[in-house]
Amino acid sequence: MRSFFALWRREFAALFLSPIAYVMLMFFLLVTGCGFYWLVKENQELTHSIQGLMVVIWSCMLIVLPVLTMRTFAEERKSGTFETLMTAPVNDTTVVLSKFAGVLSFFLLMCAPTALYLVIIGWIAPETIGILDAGSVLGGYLSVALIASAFIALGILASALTSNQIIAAISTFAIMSILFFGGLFEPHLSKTPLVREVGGYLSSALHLMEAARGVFDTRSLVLYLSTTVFFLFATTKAVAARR
Amino acid sequence: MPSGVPNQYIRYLNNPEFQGVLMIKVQNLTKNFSGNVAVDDISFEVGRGEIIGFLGPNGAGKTTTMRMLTGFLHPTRGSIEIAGCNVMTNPLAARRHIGYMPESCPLYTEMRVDEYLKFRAQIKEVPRREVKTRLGAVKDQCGLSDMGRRIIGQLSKGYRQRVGLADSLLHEPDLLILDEPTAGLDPNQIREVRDLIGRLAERHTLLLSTHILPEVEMACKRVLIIDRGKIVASDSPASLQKRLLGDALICADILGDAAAIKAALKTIDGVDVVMTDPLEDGWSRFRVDSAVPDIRTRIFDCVVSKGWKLRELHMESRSLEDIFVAITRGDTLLEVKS
Repeated sequence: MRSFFALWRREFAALFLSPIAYVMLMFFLLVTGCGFYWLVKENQELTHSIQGLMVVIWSCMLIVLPVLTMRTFAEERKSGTFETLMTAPVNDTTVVLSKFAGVLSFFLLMCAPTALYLVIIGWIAPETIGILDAGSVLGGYLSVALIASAFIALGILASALTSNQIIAAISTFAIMSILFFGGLFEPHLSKTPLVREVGGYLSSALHLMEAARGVFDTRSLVLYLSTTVFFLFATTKAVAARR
Repeated sequence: MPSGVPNQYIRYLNNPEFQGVLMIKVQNLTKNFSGNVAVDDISFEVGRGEIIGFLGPNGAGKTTTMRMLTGFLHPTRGSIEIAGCNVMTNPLAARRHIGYMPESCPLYTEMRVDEYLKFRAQIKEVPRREVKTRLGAVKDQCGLSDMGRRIIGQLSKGYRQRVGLADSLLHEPDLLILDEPTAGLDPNQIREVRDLIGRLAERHTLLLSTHILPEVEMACKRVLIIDRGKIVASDSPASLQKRLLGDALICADILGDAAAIKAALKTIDGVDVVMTDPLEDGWSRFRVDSAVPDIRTRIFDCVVSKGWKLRELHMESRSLEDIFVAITRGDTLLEVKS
């Protein structure tokens, strides 16, 4: 347990020591900030704006998560520190979990300022707070966290499979895009009802909008938790297989 | 064991639990990399407190073997035990006994020395209360005392090597495995690291690979020479020398008629071969190879009796380098003498 926290802390701190993380923070806050401003301006209902904000966060993930995860294993492999790490008395699972926890906590920290947007809205227009449903806001953020953890696990797997960070990032981006858009264009995707249904079930965008509307769907909970566990399991296997 | 060595270092030497347990036991170890055999069915044992030099040309399988010992690579076949713990079935226990410094000494360059060592101490399960004292102790040992605040990426190669070494010592391992600890250092740094290793040898079992042979000759009680994935020799440098190269070569600078001297030297009892090397100032250097241990006095007597002049007479000892070349190049000496 102690080595898990030590590894997690290193992973988390390493992100703050790289310029890429700051670029990603800036990009994320700029896009979500501008997006939310525009959403509030165009929408009459605040709930719609919050749904919209979740979708903006979701689109940012497409860029942010591959970039944050690409270095986890690939960089260690390239610089050789993988050898010192894997010959210390820590097991593979601890290493994988700590890297996962490091990136996930960084991403959640990244999302935290977006909650300020709601505070600012409440300050400017106090009457809107009454309409705001705490459940839908929390549901939205919980969904963001779940989706992020599944894709962070995917990104770490890609990073564990190669020592080239660019390859890791691009393959994560490609798989995420397929899963992202799989359901978004479901009516255009196929004429077969089955494909449409599966696409809809996998679509992160739809899950997010549902959650931000205040609908708690256990199916998406199961989907993201199980994919997270699966990808993390695959990563430990990938790390072991590379020995 | 010198006085002033803290008790914990003597721990493993005196611990009855470990008495008679070998530090390293390797049996029929083989590693294939997609069809290429890197290490081919090697077996060896290392006792507690031994200092072993691991030699071999590039690509002979040294690093692969060391990586398997530390559990970084899994062997294709064979078994490894470190202090009685099987590396494959009980990897964490085995790794707790090992302090390992990989070849290029990889470090997290963005961290500070203290941060890095503290992080390593935590993942190596150094008890919380001891972290600070251990950090101080290894920094003292490795000459890093006033380097704690420096960022590793800005340190020179020599200092990075010390950080790597400090890291490998943090958890007071019984066994130190150092892969090319002096690679890429300048002569002064090599001397410093060598002195450091000499001090470590008093407290740990040591397995080190290096290209710089005088180093091994100085520090190691036993050498393992590996070539093309196989162990071709395992002995002390001195007895290897004796076994493989026979007796020393004798050099003599003599003034006189070279052909006559050569003929006279050949008549000395025990002389095998005489080679002549004319020097610029009219003198000649003779190299005498003999089966009899030391024939310097006989050469001297011979020269005096003929009235020639002698200005130098010495025995050239064969270095480990010669042994290394002889073994790994398939030299004829090996076939002749073995």
